[in-house]
Amino acid sequence: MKFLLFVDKNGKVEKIHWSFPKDLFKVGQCIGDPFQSFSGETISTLIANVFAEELSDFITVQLTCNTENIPVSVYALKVQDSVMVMGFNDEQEKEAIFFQFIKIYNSFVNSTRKEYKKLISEREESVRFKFEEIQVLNNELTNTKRLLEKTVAQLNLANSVLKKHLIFDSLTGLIGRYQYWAQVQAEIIAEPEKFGVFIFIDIDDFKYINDTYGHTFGDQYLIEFAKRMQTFPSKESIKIRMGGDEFALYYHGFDHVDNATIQTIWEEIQEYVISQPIKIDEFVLPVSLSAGMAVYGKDAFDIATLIEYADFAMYQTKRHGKSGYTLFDQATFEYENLRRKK
Amino acid sequence: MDIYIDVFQEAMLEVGNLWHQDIITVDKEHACTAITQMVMTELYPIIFSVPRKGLSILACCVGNELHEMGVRMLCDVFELKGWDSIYIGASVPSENVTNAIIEHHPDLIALSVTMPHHLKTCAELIEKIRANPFTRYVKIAVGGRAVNLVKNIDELWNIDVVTKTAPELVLWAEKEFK
Repeated sequence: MKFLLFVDKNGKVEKIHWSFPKDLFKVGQCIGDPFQSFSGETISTLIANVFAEELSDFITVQLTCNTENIPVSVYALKVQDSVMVMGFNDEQEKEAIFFQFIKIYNSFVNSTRKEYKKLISEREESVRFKFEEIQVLNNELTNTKRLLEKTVAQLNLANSVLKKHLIFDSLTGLIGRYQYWAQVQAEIIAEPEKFGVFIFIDIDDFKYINDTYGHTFGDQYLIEFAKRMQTFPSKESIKIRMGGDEFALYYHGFDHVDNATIQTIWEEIQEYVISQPIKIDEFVLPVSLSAGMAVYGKDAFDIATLIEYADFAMYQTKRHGKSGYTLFDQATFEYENLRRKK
Repeated sequence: MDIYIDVFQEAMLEVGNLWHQDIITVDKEHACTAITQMVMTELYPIIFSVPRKGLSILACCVGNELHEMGVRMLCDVFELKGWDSIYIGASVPSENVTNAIIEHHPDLIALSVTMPHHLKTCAELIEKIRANPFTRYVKIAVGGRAVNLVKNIDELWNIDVVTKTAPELVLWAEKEFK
């Protein structure tokens, strides 16, 4: 008698690999059925124990068969969700069957190992794939950041060009009309108790230069005029191009302003701007200007009024024959205002 | 430029070697790449504020390349030299490359091939650029590991220059576009 079966945890036959006698077992019946009741119970208990305790070793029991008493060795081994049961009663045959069993066992272990390896390599593959995905995302992120930084740099460049245009007059390089207010204000805020002088300058007969020699020539004249303003030794002054042929200067930081102060400023203008004629190509043109001055801290206490007064004084110079300067006078200003209203 | 060649490039080559020798695992290799990329981005405010020369380079990786850092580094080195760079990334279809050339009209384009099986794609791309009347006059430079494995590639392909390193290409470009 010999057999190799697979049974479930309750001892129900699932698969018959081989058995002798051939019809000893049937699929679906209990493994203990062909045996005497006592032996059938013993084999069922054995299977239940093997299944519950997950034994993977051999267990031998002696059984008595239905028709005759035969000692049968039974080996049980848990294999996944089943129990493999092998039985035989011949000692010689026992060895051969044992080797066959080992062969089956080995092939089972090998196939399990193969599955496990496949599982691991699939896991490695998926890990590698995840890393590649991360790398791709990281590359995208870096490229986006690069593009962003590049755009920021381009924007910064455009901003600095714009700022330059706003602060400085593009023709002469002097402080432009959009920025001078803030600069004058900054100087006043820094030293509010000090006095300042605003000088409004208008080039005399510039229209004649433009009309006679053309606008390009006129521009060159303005550039040369501005260059001379830049050479003033008093570096602290703000040099402004108000627009067209109108320029301005602002000095701040005086402890007091009197006629001598005004005279010094005018002499500086005469020496550095007016004294030498401007030469462009073969043409030599004398420089003449009309200026008007107003004092911050005395005539006016805000920038708008200060500029208005200096502008008024400049027009006084124009009215009195150009080429010179006028210091703002409150009485004249009020008189002129009254006269205009009449 | 030294930091790109002596530090970043050296570090990446070393990481590559360690990975090939199985001394470091793939996660460490990727971490090293990510860290290097992050450090490189810190330099962007510096390299992009270099005064511009009015020249531009358009670069891309041919094929589905994960390792696009080399080309990006090439672009950065050109930025450092005052060139504007347009990096269009990896595995870009050839129509997109020709369209980008038409849109940005670069002075030079740089194509990088790392894996040998993408050489054919690169050759086809060059053919397309040369066949298009709007892109055929652009100067073409090629580089990358796969390109450098092929002998006399400048005779096989209709290109202007092939270089092994970024500084070599910069030197060539500075002379060519004086």
